[in-house]
Amino acid sequence: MKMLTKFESKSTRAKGIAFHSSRPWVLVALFSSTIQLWDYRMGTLLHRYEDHEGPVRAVDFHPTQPLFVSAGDDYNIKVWSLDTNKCLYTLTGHLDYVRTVFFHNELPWIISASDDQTIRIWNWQNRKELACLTGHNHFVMSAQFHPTEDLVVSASLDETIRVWDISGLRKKHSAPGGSSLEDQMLMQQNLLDGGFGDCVVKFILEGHTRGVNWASFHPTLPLIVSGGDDRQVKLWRMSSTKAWEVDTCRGHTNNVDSVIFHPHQNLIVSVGEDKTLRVWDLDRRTPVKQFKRENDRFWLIAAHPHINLFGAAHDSGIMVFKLDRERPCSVIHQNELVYVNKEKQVQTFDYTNNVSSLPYVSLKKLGQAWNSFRSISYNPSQHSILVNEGNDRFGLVVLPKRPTGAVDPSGVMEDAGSFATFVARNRFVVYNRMSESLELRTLENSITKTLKIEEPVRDIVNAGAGSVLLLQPKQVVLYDVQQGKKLAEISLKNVKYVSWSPDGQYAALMSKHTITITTKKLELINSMHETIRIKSACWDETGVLVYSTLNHIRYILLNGDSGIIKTLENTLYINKVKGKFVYALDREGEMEILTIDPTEYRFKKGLANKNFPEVLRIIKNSNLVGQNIISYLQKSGYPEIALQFVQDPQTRFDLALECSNLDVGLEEAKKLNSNFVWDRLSKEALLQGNTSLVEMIYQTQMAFDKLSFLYLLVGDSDKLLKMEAISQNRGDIFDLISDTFYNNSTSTRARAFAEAGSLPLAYAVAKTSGDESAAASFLEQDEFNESDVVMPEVVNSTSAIKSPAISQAIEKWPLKQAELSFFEKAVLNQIDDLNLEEPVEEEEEVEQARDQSADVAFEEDVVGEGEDAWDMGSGELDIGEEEQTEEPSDEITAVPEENETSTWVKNSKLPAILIASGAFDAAAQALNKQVGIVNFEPLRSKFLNIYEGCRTYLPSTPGEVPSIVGYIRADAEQEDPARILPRTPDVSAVADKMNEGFKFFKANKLEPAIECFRDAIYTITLLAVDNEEDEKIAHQALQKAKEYILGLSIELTRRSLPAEDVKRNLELAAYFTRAKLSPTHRSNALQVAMSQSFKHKNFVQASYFADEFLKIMSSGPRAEQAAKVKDKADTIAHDAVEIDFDPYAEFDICASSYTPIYQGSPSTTDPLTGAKYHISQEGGIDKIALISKIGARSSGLRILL
Amino acid sequence: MNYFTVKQSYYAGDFTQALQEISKFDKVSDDTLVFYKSQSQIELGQFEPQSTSTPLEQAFAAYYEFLQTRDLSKLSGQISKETASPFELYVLASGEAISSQFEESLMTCVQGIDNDEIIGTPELLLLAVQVALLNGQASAAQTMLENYNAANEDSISSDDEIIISLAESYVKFATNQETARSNFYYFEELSQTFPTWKTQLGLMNVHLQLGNLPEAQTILETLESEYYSVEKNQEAQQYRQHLLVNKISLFIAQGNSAVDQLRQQLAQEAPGNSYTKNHKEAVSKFDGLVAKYSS
Repeated sequence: MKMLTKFESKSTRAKGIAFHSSRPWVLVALFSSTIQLWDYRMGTLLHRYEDHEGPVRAVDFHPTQPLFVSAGDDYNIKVWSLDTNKCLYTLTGHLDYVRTVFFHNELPWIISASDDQTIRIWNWQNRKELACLTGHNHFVMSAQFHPTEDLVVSASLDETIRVWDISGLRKKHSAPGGSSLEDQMLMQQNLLDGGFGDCVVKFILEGHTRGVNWASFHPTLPLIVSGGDDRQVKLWRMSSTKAWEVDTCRGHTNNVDSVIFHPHQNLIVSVGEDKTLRVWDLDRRTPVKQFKRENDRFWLIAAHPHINLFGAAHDSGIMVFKLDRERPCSVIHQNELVYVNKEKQVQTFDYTNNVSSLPYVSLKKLGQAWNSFRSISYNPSQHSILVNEGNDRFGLVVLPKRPTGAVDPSGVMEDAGSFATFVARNRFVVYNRMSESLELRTLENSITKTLKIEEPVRDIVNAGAGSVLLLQPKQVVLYDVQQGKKLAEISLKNVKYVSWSPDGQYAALMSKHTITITTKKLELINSMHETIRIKSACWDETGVLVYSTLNHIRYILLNGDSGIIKTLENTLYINKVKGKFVYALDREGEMEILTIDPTEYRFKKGLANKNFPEVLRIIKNSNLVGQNIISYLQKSGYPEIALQFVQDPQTRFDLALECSNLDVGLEEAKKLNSNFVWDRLSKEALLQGNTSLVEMIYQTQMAFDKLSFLYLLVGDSDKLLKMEAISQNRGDIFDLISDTFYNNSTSTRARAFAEAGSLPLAYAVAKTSGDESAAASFLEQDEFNESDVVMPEVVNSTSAIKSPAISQAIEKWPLKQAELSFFEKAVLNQIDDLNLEEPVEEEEEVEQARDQSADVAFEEDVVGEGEDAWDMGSGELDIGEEEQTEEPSDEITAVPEENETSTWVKNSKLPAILIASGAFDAAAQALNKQVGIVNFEPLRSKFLNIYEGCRTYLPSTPGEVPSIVGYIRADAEQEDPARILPRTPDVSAVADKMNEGFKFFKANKLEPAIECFRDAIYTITLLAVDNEEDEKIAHQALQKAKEYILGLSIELTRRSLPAEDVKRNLELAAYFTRAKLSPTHRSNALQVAMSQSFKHKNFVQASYFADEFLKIMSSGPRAEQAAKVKDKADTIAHDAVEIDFDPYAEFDICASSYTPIYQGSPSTTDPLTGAKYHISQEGGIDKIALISKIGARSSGLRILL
Repeated sequence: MNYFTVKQSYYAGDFTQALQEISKFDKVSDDTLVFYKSQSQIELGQFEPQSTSTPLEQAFAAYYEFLQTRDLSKLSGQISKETASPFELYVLASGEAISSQFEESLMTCVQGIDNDEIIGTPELLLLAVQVALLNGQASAAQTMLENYNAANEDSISSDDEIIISLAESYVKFATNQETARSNFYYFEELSQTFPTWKTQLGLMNVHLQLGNLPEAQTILETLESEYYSVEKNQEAQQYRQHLLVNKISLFIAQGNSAVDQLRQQLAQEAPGNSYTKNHKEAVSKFDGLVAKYSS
């Protein structure tokens, strides 16, 4: 047994502790007067409650309401709200320290125990004291309600434990109308009397020799456990009338302060001032385990009401822990999980059928009773498991072949050593802590190799054949056991678990809070930290790691993208992810199958891998698209993908600019039509050199200055001149002056300055550009001198402006045309073979396949209207058949070799087995005797396939040596020599052929249909079945095949008749109706006969066939037609042609001449097919199967093994 | 000397790798290396007789000649059963086995296994086991293996264990022991660790024995993929005929009608294949039958 610490707090002395029933919260009562509320899962202090004066000794959560209660040395009991974190009120009454307080499970009651020697019961709703239980004559150290009965147990320093019956109190306070004056007076009286009458002492338990500190009820059994200053833990039993001491657990070396029963297991847990926490076996009262703190006395132990957690209060804080691991050991093998359930039984879970097996063995006797196993390793070759017992011992357990229940294992080998793990089918490794070495052992447990390992090893995980991962405190090492060398390592602290991807390419290494993904050579791919503990992980088929934390199922992709898939209520250990199913074991060791939505991570993965068809498919077929996904796409650098799925113009515009799509940008800008949008678009267009678009935008915006500058840039002097004119017209002096600069129009500029009233500037311009006359005119117009205007010293008017080097303005900057992205193409339907349909879930296919194979029978018996009908109008046969399901055929057959084949022959003399053994002659002889077969040629391929189908050839070493022949048995695992047989075709092969025949029949392809039915007969002839049902099916199929061959041969003959042979035509049509076809198919024969008869005016016959037809099919267009035929024929009731067919007589049809053999006429039968012949045909070859001799003496076909 | 990696590659059928591993021992040459080197070269069709040579090298040269001519006389003349080393006897026994002289071959093997020289005996044992199986003496094969294991229980090195395991798997394959268990996992493990033509074919055979048709089909597709048929062309030439044989078994089991076509293809490509020989015998047996009943 192990104590697994989950949380520790550091504080002053803690005296009380309580778990919340549903949230991961724990309350701590401190000696310093504070109450703390911790989230033990996150390890955070949620709140501090400070209202008590002096030490707080007790706290308790209400089981359902957001309340808690506390009490301490200030004599007060306080009730607090968890919503407001405020003290709601204080219950006063006790006259000394209050030692414990507890809520009642269902009633609105609180019980308190105090040094004032009383126990009091309070109603927290009306805040009244209900009862005061007196009797103890020293401090009462603890008092608790019974979880289900109206009892209270109290412990006192008066060395007694008292059990109180409080049923009277309940009666009084739950009785309706209990608040009459009389009742109230009575209640007062009660209080004065110390609750006398309502709360009576039922038992006084004496036995402790010093004060008793604690007493607790067992949750379900009539037991009490107590602990006292005499350092003893005592167990008491009670009946309805008495209570007695059962036994004492001795071991504590100082006062025992608190003791409880384990909520689920037969254990007692006690704590004391000897700084130990001790676990005792309830049934044997023997110590199971003890844990010691170096410096802290323990004051209290409490159990979580539902989950396997305990809390202990001690001198420097509290600890939250669990006793023993709850992770069920499991190991995956192919499509199965091998696991150990809560009862230590080994089971398997089949992922294909989603079923758990019966237990194979019970491992209760392996290792120590209270120790749960640490891990298991499975050896499929030996069908055995290695169990690491968790105490540096392991066991090798050979599992029985089939699970039959929780039996004790027959072959168990136990030895010392840790982390036993299989590394090959006949080797496993064990870590020897003493010698710090890895030992390679055989299945007989003899050590073949010892490998010294430098650092201590914490666990070992299989890493493919011959190698293991050594989990060490500071690193993980990939170690080749065969060669005894380190292959790779990675520095990682405290890795506890490992999950390999199905293809073995990646490993997820898990520590408490970190998952690190590496390659198989331990090269780091990425790593992520979780605040909540990581419990398990598993790769799905596509390489996404799905993992569970204490409260979530999450995923992480190889590129580090991660997210939440589902919130969990209970901790689960994932072992497989298949499509949208997550398989996980819960702490009870039972398999849970959760359904998740893998869309999000598949989408992200598709994107990361640039698997665009997949991404597109997901987008099209799921409701994934939302703001989140759009921003994800944008962030991931795929704005063009996001663009395809957005309607909002602003978003579309933003995305369009991001992916430089000017067309869409323009489209959306037109809708939005704001300056801001146009500005952004024009900038983008300018960047891309799309000047015509920029021009258009500037025009729209009437941004003349920008437009002019654009024309300057692109060298469009014509338009620049126009702009100048426009500026002039608009009277915009600033634009005009700019334009004159762009155009180098000095005279216009001078004029503009002049018009604007700046004659000196106008003068300067004219002067510097050499226009002396204009300069002079400006001088004249105003009163300034030439000397007033300071001209630059050097002016070179000619070189300042150059005319554009290009003759034509640039319209569009030549950029390389971008290719359309996959998405754009897909959206524009430019991808030919794009299939965006959801692929059918593989699982469903499998499911279906299984259904079909389970149903071997063929399906020609369904009567239906519509497609099954022959199209009489066109004169063509269109014989209907329900769509046949393809049966997988897995037949094979065998031949001779010394040992194996002689065994086969010894076990069966059926023809099929003889052929498989290579004894062709003997097989032929048997067939001849049984069913008169004389023509073997048609059976050639059957013989060869049976013979060769049960052999396989393994290349030798060296390759030039002939191959080694291996034999294929019907059951590869058959070990009883008397039942070893070769694999030969089974009855499903017959069904396949029959169904194929029906398909041809339906398609009106009569010749191939006959071939198929014949093949079915051949298959049946050479069949070997192991049960009577299959035998029956085969015989029935043979008869059916015969009938179809007969019927179809008649119909084929009829169709080949010359048109004038009406009589024979009508006869054959009539005989065809006598073949014992399935009703659907027979309806076609009847329809032929009816139509032919009606057509040739044989109305009586037509009426008969119509009548027969209507018996099979009473509704639908064909039935209506038949009814009409019948009505009409009945009115005439005359046959024009006399034919040899009496519908009401019993007769067979000769399979050779197709004429009736009436009862009493001499006839003969074919021994194989049972076809009837006129006696004259005897000795000929059967016309049905073409292999047997008509009328030959025979013993009958044998196919049953 | 540790030849673990050499033997591992050779027996897994990765002859190119085996040659590479051998080349790492460039300063050393002994019979073991000569043996694996020559065998790998023969498998890859790259063998060239050495001019200056040891008796074993001479034996291989004669063996190589035999493979071309199928005339055993020179080979058997050159190697003396009394004095030759186990490796030389291996070469002779191989030749005899290829010539279907299984009894002689077995005798030669036994001679070598009983030899005082230990090097080469595991290899001979492997051959002996196969020859016994070919000769229909499965129990003899089993006994030889058991005797060898009993006699060398403590001294089987890990590289020899590779050979013994292979021998064991041949016996189990031929006698249908542990087909669904250790033998299956042996081949599965091998094909996963060393995916080569040889190991894949081994696994395919066991799948066929187990009736695991979809799995066998998958291997077929793998081996027909470009990687195996083009990139691994050297091995492909050696093993394609074996794949065809297994494909026939698979097709029969699947009820695929293309079986006859495959048989013809095989008969053309590898007329000497054991399957083809067996098939011819079966056909002529059946012909006799037809004739007998139709007369």
